[in-house]
Amino acid sequence: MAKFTTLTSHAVPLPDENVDTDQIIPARFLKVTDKDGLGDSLFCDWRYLKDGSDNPAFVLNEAASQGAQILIAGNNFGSGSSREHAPWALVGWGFRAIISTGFADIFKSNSLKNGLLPVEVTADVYQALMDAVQSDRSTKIAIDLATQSVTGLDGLEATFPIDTFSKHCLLEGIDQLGYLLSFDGQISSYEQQRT
Amino acid sequence: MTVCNMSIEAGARAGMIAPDATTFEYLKGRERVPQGADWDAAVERWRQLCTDEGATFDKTVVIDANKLEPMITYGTNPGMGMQIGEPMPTVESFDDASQQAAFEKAMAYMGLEPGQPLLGKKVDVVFIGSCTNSRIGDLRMAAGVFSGRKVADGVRTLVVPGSHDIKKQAESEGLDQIFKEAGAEWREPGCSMCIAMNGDNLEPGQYAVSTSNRNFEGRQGKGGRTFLASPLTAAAAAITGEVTDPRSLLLS
Repeated sequence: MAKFTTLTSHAVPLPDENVDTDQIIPARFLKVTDKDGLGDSLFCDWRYLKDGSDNPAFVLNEAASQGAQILIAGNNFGSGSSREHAPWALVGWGFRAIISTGFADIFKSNSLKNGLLPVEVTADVYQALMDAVQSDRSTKIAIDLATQSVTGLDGLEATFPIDTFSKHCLLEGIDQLGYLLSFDGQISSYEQQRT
Repeated sequence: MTVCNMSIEAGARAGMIAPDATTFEYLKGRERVPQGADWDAAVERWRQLCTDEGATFDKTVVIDANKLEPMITYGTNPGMGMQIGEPMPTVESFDDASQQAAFEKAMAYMGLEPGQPLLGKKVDVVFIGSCTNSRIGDLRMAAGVFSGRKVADGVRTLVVPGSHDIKKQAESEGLDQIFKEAGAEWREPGCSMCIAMNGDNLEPGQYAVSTSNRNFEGRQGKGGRTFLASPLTAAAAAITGEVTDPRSLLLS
């Protein structure tokens, strides 16, 4: 898992509320056993037309969205099914952070374990960032995990909450298992005492 | 269990109800459940799993089930629900601009007219299944509606038991025969049309009454339109071919 320290990127605006995981990655893609490769299917049913070509009306297909690492989305993002494939697909497309006023709890937990930072901000901050991004798609947003701050180029600055364990893991680029393995020396010496 | 399951749709990590005598009676003697003295100890322990005296809650909701009509959803998330006899809301029913936008998007996806009733809406598929609503009690209720009746012409009706145990139990009670004689498909346990698995999916534009837990866009198949409802309401829709208040069939 890649470390998350700071991120500065333009953003994709998706103001819809209650975007559920069936939209993020429909169930028919859940048969994979590998985290990689789901980026092409992210938002599949909104993103592609019946003939499989790109839907030009969907924001992810706009030229201005390409290369973005931040998604700014309406409240209660990631509701519905608990599938871990949702953050896999978002990370697969290239997102590293999502800004919203609220996340579904299980989605948030899954994201934190997959290097995808949920940035929860107040309604005022969300609206200011959304307005800035929508009026100028090249607007850069900066996120600093160590200081838990998000900054817009117009001087807007806000902080966001994150639990200390998830923050530590993201900064180090490890998941829970990686955290345990960092105690490998102590685990081995304990096991030797038992044999 | 349906309430526990659906708590997640309201944003909860889990929904819990203190176990009572009905729960213990259900568990007693089952496989993988403590037996003998262990059983008594387990029940004693489980009795502690209730709300502490003086516990405080962020929000308390009181629902009098006796005063509820059968419920059904009209939109594209489980919160977009209403009593079955009501007309659907209109955009003016919502104060918040984002809720209004979500409502209009849902109506467009569902191909429905705001303010109109859902009763009488033709359906293409009825799905009685899923972990939410396919216990033996659900199947018994549904079988009560199917008994002596036939599924409406052109309505594909799937009955998918919640587990292998439930399938065996239902077959021992002859419920499978009632479903099959009525013209419904009696299937192996599994996710099936809850999540458009194993080829069980809606075609674009089709309407389904489904006892599963989610009515998101495309959940039961790309372009498919889902009305979530109870097993009784789903069974009634299978018989009439349209959204129906099941009480009209129970009383007749």
